[in-house]
Amino acid sequence: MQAQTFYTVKGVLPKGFVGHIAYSTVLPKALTGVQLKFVFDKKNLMESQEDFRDECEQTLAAQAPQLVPTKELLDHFCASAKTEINVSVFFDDYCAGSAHRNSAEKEFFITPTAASEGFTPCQPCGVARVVLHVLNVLNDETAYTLTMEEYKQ
Amino acid sequence: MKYIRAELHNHTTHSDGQLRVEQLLAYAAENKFETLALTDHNTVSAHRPAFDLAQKEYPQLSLVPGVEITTFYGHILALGLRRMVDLTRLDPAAPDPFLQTLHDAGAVAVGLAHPFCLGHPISEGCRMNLQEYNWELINYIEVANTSGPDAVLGNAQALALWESLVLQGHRLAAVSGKDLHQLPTPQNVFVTYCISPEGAEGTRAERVLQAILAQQTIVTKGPLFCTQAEDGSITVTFAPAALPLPKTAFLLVIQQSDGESITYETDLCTPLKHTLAESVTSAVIKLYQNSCTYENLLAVGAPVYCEKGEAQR
Repeated sequence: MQAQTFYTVKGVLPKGFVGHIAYSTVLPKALTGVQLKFVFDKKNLMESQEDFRDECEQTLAAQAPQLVPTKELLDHFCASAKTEINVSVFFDDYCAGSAHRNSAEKEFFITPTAASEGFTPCQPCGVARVVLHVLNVLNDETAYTLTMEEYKQ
Repeated sequence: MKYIRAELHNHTTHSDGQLRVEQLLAYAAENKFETLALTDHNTVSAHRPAFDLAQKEYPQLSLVPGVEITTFYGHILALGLRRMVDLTRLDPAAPDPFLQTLHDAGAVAVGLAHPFCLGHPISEGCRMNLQEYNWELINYIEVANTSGPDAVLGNAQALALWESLVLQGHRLAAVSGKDLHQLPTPQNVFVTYCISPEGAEGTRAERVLQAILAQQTIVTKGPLFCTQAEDGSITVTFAPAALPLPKTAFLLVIQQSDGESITYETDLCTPLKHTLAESVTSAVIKLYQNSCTYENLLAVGAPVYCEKGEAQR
């Protein structure tokens, strides 16, 4: 039997957005578990680096003036820059965990007896609230997709 | 006194660490961590597997459950916390209710991680950017995050903030943290030891947490000493050195809350007694090698708070 898909939602984020985006749904009773997949695009800095480098220089001047903004250092900051969106899951008020890792694709499952790393085994029930913690968006028109479905082994 | 090594800031593959639980515990045991805090970002899921494994394979390791509450406005370490809270409730303009929530949820010691780490756009969300808050809801400050260069992590500023707050009378411990995401490269970095009376009750993890709450921690690159304030004076007592001491000058600086700073040469063996003025309510004790610059800082001792005088909070 095919796993039931509870929802697939999509969104588009502007450069510079910071905030939490939550999707809440009521789960059916007697679930074996839930499986979620979250993906977003444009993880790395794709637009002009000049503005980003200028901002880094300003931050260094204000917060660490002893650090010289060499080309190598700014190159390193540019290469390290990333869009960062992490995902937490709540069942009613219980936090089942978080997928907090440096990856544009996060796929995980939660069942009463096992769960992906970052999550604690528990019975998915009640109101499932999936929260996207949008820490940093580097590029305009950053698109994401979130899917929640019933977990089937 | 007993000095208990405590590594209080560590990550696994349950968040963005590169080490699996078993790898982290093996490393900690091999490197004699004694006490290891589990502080993954926004999750407690590593706790159960870590505790189960430690009980079976690493009885010499004491684990402290915790979380690094990773917000848009800075990172907060919550030691003792066994369940994750809803971080979307944090209002950066009025953070006290959220900080109280951490305590209510079981956090024994709440600390600020790398508060002066470089901020936007270099490290998003890592620099503390909360508005005024009640320091009584904070138990410690990570004054030395040894995961990278001091200038990037703002360690000197973190230490200066801690010192300023202690001299105002706030009860805050100083700790270090490896912020361990991958195997560290061997280097001489600050390490935290919690100072606990010999024969004190409780598990090692409990004694570590109690030491933090009592500001009985020393952040050091080697030398260990404890500080006691009694009858109008401070006594600094050194632990026997584990290795032969280099032939160099060691300087102990006592910074008092009345603004006075007194420097003593020390051989790191002979106990040192310093008389406090009546007006002094707190003091910070730091140890340097050769000269009193940040680069030559060897240890930040436990602060002392005086019974007499009016402690400011």
